[in-house]
Amino acid sequence: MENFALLMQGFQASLALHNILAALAGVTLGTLAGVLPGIGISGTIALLLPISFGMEPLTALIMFSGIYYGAMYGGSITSILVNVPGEGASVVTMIEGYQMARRGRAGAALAIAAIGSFVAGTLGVVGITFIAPPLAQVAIAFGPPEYFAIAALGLLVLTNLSGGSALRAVLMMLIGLMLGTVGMDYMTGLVRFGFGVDGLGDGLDFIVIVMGVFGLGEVLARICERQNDVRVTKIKFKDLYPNREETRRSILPIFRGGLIGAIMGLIPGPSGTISTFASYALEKKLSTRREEWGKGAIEGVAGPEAANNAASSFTMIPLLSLGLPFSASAALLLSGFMIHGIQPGPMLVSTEPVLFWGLIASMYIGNLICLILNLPLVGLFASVLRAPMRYLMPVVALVTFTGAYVLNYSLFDLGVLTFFGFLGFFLQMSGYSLAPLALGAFLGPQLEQGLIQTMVLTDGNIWTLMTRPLAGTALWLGVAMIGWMIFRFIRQLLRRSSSQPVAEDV
Amino acid sequence: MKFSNLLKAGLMATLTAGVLAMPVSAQEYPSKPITIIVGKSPGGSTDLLARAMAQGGEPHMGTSIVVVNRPGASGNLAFNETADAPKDGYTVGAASNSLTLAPLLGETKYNYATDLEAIALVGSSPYVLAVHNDAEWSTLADFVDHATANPGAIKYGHTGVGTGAHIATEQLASIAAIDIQAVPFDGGAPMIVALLGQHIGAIMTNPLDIQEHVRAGTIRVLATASEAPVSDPLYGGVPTFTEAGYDLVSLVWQGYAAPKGIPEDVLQTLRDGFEKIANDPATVAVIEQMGFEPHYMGGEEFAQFWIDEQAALQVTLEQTGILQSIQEQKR
Repeated sequence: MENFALLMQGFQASLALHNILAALAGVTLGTLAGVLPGIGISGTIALLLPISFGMEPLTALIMFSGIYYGAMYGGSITSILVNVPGEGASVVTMIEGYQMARRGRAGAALAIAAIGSFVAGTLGVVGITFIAPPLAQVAIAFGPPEYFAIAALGLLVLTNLSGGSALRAVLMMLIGLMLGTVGMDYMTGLVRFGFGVDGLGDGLDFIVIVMGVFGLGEVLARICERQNDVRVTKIKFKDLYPNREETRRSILPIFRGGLIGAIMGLIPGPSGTISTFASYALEKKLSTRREEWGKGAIEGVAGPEAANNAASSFTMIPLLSLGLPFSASAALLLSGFMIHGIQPGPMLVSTEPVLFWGLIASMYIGNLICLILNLPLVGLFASVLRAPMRYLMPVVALVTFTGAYVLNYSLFDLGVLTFFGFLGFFLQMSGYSLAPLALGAFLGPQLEQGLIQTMVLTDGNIWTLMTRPLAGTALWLGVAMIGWMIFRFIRQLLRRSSSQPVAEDV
Repeated sequence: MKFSNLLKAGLMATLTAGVLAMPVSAQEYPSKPITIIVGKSPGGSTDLLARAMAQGGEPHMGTSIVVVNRPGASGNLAFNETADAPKDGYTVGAASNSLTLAPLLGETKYNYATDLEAIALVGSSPYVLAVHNDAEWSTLADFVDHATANPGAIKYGHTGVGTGAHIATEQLASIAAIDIQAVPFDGGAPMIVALLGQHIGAIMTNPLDIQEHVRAGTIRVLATASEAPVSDPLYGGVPTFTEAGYDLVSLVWQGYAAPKGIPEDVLQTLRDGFEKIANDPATVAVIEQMGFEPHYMGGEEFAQFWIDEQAALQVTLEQTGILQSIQEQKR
């Protein structure tokens, strides 16, 4: 309860008018940064750093943190509306969200994404308020073998996310893994598959790949459609928001997604993205309406959006209590702290109690502002879809190219984007699902690095992986799953050969 | 986003103006904004320091200074761009360790240590060898003894092959004749997490990254790779490697460079201006906040520093076998 009293003091500090304004400015800019692909949290914070010099530290930190978690609200908007993921964490939102938009339910998808983000974000802050220090210790318990195990299990469980042919999904996943090997080798520092091209030395940027295969690929696909001007009928205000049925179906996914995101947020690496994949897979497994998946199931928006917000809130725990940023955007937030002479770490709570609790309190306020800000905007954003495709698509292409450029200020990336745009288009036309490709490209480097580190740590004894409690459990689970799949496959073969071909089991 | 787009557009416009405008005669230098090219993404210490220099630089330079980020190829893209920039003094590059190191490791377009003009060094920070507080060794001597008795048993983390920290640790291993194994990490944060969880035994790092853990007593620093003991009382009683009997000095540094061949008087104006910026109390405060010690060095001295550091690195890379292993694999 001592924390509660301190939190109340924090509220006193953060409810000062200039601090509320800072929170408002932060989350507004954050939401906008999330909306435009590429221009992310990093660019926005970097641009505001000089402006913040004159502010008092708490005010500046409230603003920077607002940008950080506000961006998670905005990230889903382009995914849902035009199939362009602004960041890794909104790739999954696209799968169902974009389909909902094409069915005319964009408003519902956007609103559920905002509500899910609010619920999970607030739960995340509650978590930080009461159990941050012990949770930080959990983060430390994860070592390289555990990262490897999580990546391996992730590939196994999540590859056939969108259903369809397992063989095709595995093929796409393997191509993704291969893409992840381009660039510098961790162990030797040598460039692999660089072909002497400077731009390949740093590897392929995951975000550029997904912006290409999904965003640009979608633009190309639309161009090839004959009657591409789908007349969206004017939607009544009431129908803009989720109906009772949609809301009811979203409640449990939001809480489950929030829980998954919270757990994953404690693990170093871009956990937000994995948690969205995991939440999607879980919701699909639990769903009683299998036939809707891939055609706009609202659970597939609610769960992942809640997951990435909870993950980004929980990433604040290692940042605040260990001083360690577990993602690129958290690293930028850390710079924002440091420029004001605040070094987060184990001592922050005791040396700067007002600042620490003021910041936490501002996150409750900021999440609320985000919700209030986002819900009315739903109508505005949804009306974007009323624009004829021949005007909308060039704008989407322009936004995609700008976003990809601003990411690394690299012209080479525009070439990469174009290449993957065409690749994504052809693969999609040929009936290949692109999510496994994104997953492979994302988890590949993590898998490889975890394995290399483990091999050095154990002097090449790979068996150690299977005997550590956390990593072992995950990996044995994976082995059991493969065993079960083989068993099922053989059983099916046997049945098919013994019984009549009519016996069609599921 | 509109707001930051606007700012970006503004930056781009000033940059383009800076590059396209006709050369101006020397006596009116500077008559337009100066651009600092940073080879890192926005937000890192190199970027923030450059932005602070730009922010505080206007009164000293008599013109505004803008920062542009050109990350890629470990910062080499930005060095190349600086070297290739018009020789009019309107383009300056942020310089750091890879300026002397990169040309030794791979085929860079230039040898930056000799093909760029030094303006000023503004801050530096020594690498430190850090271990978990519960580790069984509490001094550098214990650490070396343990490593001698158990070859290959101690694993240390680094953030990339051929980075300054990796080279410094290998140099220590070579001087002390010990066998410690390198574990590569994808950045400082995961590496420090691994140290805190005692998945690895030691790290060579910038002191700022572990400062709060040293204060909290979870991480202990065994030695600093500086010439003189670090002034911060947090490291009171921590010896330098040299004091402990190992000749190892390795600094992370931040400075600025210009293309070779800019007019002598323009170079002098830049050097004078940057001296004033670097010693401005506002800049000094940011340098300290970024974990560096204010460490001003004028242009000529700084140029010699590059040459000396590169020569020393060449020797170290050969002694530790890092150079051979890279060259062998390239074949």
